[in-house]
Amino acid sequence: MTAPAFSLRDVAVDLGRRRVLEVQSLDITPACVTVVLGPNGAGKTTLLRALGLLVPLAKGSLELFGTARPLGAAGAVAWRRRLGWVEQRPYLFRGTVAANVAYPLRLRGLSPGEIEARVAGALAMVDMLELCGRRAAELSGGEAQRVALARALATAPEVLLLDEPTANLDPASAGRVEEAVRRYARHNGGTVVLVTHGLFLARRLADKAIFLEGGTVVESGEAGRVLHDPQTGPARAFVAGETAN
Amino acid sequence: MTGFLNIILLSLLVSGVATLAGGFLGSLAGLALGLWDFPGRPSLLRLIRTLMGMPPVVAGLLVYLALSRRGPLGVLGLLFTPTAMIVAQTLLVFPIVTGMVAAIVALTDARARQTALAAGATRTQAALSVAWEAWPGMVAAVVAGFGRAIGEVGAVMLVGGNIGGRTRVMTGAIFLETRQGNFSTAILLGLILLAVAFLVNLALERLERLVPR
Repeated sequence: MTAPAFSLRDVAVDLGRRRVLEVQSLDITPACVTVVLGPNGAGKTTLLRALGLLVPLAKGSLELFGTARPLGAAGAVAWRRRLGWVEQRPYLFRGTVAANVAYPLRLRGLSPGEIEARVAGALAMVDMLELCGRRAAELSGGEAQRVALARALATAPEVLLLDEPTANLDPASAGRVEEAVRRYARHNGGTVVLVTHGLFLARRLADKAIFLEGGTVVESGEAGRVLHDPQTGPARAFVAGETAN
Repeated sequence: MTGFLNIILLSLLVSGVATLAGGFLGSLAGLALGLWDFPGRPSLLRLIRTLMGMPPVVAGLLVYLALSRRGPLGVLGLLFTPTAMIVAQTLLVFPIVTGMVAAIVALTDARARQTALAAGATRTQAALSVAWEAWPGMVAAVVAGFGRAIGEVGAVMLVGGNIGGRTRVMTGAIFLETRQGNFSTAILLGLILLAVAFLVNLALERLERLVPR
């Protein structure tokens, strides 16, 4: 039996003295798109950061494909190198588009030839190959988002963590990002954890869905059920509200 | 004329080496203070900010006491040498660069470090990535450090002794010429000092452009 992409047991994250995330038990299925939904402040981004070991856990156990969360800094770096990460407002470093996509590859000490090939491949996946020499500072929001996605895809991560990747994008840009994510998941067999509060995006992409509220998982399961026929009050109210909008 | 040239070259050597040393160490310390939270960091920052305003003559006094014959480093015999002047100026440059770099790094978008770590950077790689982003500000900090070094007179006079042909730099020469009533020479030296500072700043500006936007 394949190990879950992520397995969380009794996990909690504190922000100062406030508990912002508490997950009793959650498994994220490999090789499919899992969408994390919920209202603002539900703990969606915190969950993503916890999976990427970008926030300390107050307690609990977390596994990545059966490997327990490391305690040392070197182990955390190795863990993060198995993941790809795209934020809602991605940060691009000084320099060109190609330099930004090459960044995680240089961290991993790849040869210049391999870096060049991978950068070209990743930029092609997001239809940005023609902009590889452009300065990152000159990009539009949609272009920056696609570069951030290419940067995450360039390392061929085992899991792609996406935080509202299409928020604030025009429909054409959002469509391109969505298509690249779909391609990564369907053709490459990649695992995607996608945070959003866009119900329609979730319905288009998700195989599995997790609904969060108040820092806890209130519902999870097959996307078809959770997104169309939720069983819990908060998820039902969210779906009804989003559909009405 | 040769005397003038020697004075200019010694000024550049002393302040240049002090800026390199103080700038390098200050950049490292500033990066650490700007990036990482550790016990005692607020007190350390307060101390650095206080030292940013340290009168040059106090830095000179400390180095003088350390290097004087009865001082802990007296055995080295460095007092009244260019080396002693470099040490004194490094003491002046270090807190300025440290304080400025710490502030610049703290003001750099926090997402830069977060993005680096998420991309698989080690702590050192993430720090270097932030330094890359903060590069123009870091160059400005080093420029400010050089300005502090080349323009100060108290520390170099105290530990160098303003000895003609050996430890006399431009500020010391201006001081001496003014005392002797040779105002035209003092003014000429002052103009040369400004011109040298301008040219060095110009060169450092080029460094700033090394990192693309």
